[in-house]
Amino acid sequence: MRDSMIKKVSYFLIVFVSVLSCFPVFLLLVGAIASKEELGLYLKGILGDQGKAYMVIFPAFPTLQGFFELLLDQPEFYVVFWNSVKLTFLIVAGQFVISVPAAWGFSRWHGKASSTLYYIYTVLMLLPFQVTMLSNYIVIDKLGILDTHSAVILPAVFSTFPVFIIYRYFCKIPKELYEAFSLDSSSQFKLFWHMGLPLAMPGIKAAMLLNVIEYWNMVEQPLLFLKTPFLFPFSIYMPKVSKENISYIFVFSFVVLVPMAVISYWGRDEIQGGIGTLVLKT
Amino acid sequence: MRFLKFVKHTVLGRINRGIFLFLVSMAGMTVLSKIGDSFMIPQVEVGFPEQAKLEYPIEIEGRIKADGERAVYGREGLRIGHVKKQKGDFVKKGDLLFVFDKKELDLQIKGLEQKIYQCDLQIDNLEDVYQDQVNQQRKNLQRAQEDYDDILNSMGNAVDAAYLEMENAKAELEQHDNINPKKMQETEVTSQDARAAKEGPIPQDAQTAKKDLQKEEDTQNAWADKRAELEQNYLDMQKHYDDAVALQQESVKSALRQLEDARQTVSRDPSSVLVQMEKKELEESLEELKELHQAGGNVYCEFDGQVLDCSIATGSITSMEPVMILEDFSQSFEFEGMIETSVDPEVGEGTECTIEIKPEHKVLEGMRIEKVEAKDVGKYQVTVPLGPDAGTYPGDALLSCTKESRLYDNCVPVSALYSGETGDFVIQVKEEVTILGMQAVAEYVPVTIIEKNNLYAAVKENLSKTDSIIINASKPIKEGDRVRIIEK
Repeated sequence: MRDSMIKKVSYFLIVFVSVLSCFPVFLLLVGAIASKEELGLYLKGILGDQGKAYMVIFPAFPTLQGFFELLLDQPEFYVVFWNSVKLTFLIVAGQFVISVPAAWGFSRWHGKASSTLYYIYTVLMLLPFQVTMLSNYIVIDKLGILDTHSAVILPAVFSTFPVFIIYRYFCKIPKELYEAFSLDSSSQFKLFWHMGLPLAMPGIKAAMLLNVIEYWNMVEQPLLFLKTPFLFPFSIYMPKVSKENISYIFVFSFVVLVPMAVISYWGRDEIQGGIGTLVLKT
Repeated sequence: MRFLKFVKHTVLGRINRGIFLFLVSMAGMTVLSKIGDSFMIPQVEVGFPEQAKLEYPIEIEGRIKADGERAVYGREGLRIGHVKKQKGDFVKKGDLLFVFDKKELDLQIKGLEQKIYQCDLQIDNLEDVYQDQVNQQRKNLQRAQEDYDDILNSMGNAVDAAYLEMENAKAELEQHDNINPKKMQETEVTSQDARAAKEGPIPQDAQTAKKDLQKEEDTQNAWADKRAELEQNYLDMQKHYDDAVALQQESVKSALRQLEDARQTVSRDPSSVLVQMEKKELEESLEELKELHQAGGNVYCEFDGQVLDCSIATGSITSMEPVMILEDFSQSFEFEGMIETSVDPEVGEGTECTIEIKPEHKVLEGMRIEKVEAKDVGKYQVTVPLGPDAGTYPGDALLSCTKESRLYDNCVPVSALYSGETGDFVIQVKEEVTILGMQAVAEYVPVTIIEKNNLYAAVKENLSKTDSIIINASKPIKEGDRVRIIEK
């Protein structure tokens, strides 16, 4: 009885916290289907006028006009959207090409040098962007790729985080499997491609998904390295909030949230597995 | 095979399928959005400010009329029998204008003939008088000539006679001088001295000498007396001669004067000439009346034209004033129009213009205004000669010309001007870097209008010649709106 009570309370608490954590998304949806006149009324305090700011659970006059306006009448949205898609895809693809072999190398190469290098990688991973941004800026400027997408993609492609996660999965492969495969073929590449890659795929997927979520929302790198508005991703495009465009901002935010929500939902197993492995191994 | 498996596993996996579908739908929405944007984005035509003068078209209603007017006169004092043409009627050469009363004509003709006869009589009378005068003058001349000749002859003879007497007296005096006893004695003494010098002196007696001396004195005295007498005679003859000459001159002079007087021609009496002149006039008038009579009293038009004024009516008596004023179409035409303005007329002499002749729908270009004349307060008459080659007829017409303002640095089309709460403005198109790349964005530029006409406006602001301003838009444009420039 007591156990079931505790269970129920725990369950209730968890649900409550979950709902609370999802509340901003819910408000986002409510704002997306409210008209700009209603939003102007609710959010008076934020939009510069005197008064309070509040939100309702459901708008008095819901409308999809914001969606029509955004999706059919605002070509700027698609420019920033496809910029974000391009940046995210190229970064993730580049990381796949660079990080996976790097992680394989770390898992297969044992020694002091390997450990030292891995240690440096870990330190780099822990450093916040603000610490390395100046050196990054200088290098990018010298390369002459400032104010291009390459300035954002290249540093991200060589990120250490996916190496860290994928390395853990490569380390999980038993030695015996290597020896068994070696009997069939002596090619290291075949070993990597036919054995290592499939076995570490969950980790790779987890890393890729986590990176997709991270780079879909990145702010600092585009803010620092991109000047031309035509190259902006949506994360730094958001226009100044005003009474005229408040509905547009809600809908915009909701629409760019949708792909990540879909990815998060459908890839939740991989993400959980990836994060779990990372935590357990750490 | 492996690759296909890999693709199937990766691309067609659950997550990737969802993402793929999402991206495909977003791509579709992108296309739709682009299509919608191309419909929604305002399409504009742009122009550039330019330096220009504002032109104001001016139209003046008026009329084409003949440059020349001609008056038709009728015989003074004749009665009008019938008027065929009235004011405003168009006439052609040969058209009947009006008809004189025939009875009146006949009376006039008869009166004139009588007057001419009277003149003839007067002239004959004056001619006779003149002839008499001429004959008399001839006679006087003849007589004067004769008198002159007589005087010449007679006076000449008298003078000759006096001269002869004077010469004779002079000869006698000279002859008497030659026998002067003193001279003779001196001559004798000289010859005695010469002989004495040669032969020696001759002795003389004293008493004889005294006697000789006395005798010499008496001779001398007698000679001197004679001489004085002769000399006096000579002087008298001389005086007589001078008198004769003087008399001759006087007589000849007098006769000559009389001759000159007699030679003066007899001048005709000017009243004869006057009568002749009067007769000539009467004959001319008669000729005219006879011609009129022959024409049945009809008066025809001698040229194409239009009756501007007709001062006669049936039964009226003609005067010295013209009976009709006609517009002569054989002369060149001119345009006359009135313009009303409270200030100076907007057109000046020499302004180039075109004239549209309404009835014929004909347009004459390249005309120039000849005269702008003030007719009344605020009313000006504009005259434009059309020239002999205009080839047109009177009728309503419309003069069109343009008045130009001063040169302005910045002129924009009127369609580029907009009015708002803050005043007038133009919409300038600027290239801006936006999320969509380099886009044409509208920007409001306030302007102050100095002057404007139907097409252009001169603005005060210093707009550059390269500034693109919107002159035509497919929909209202707000500041900051993207626009699409359409090339014309």
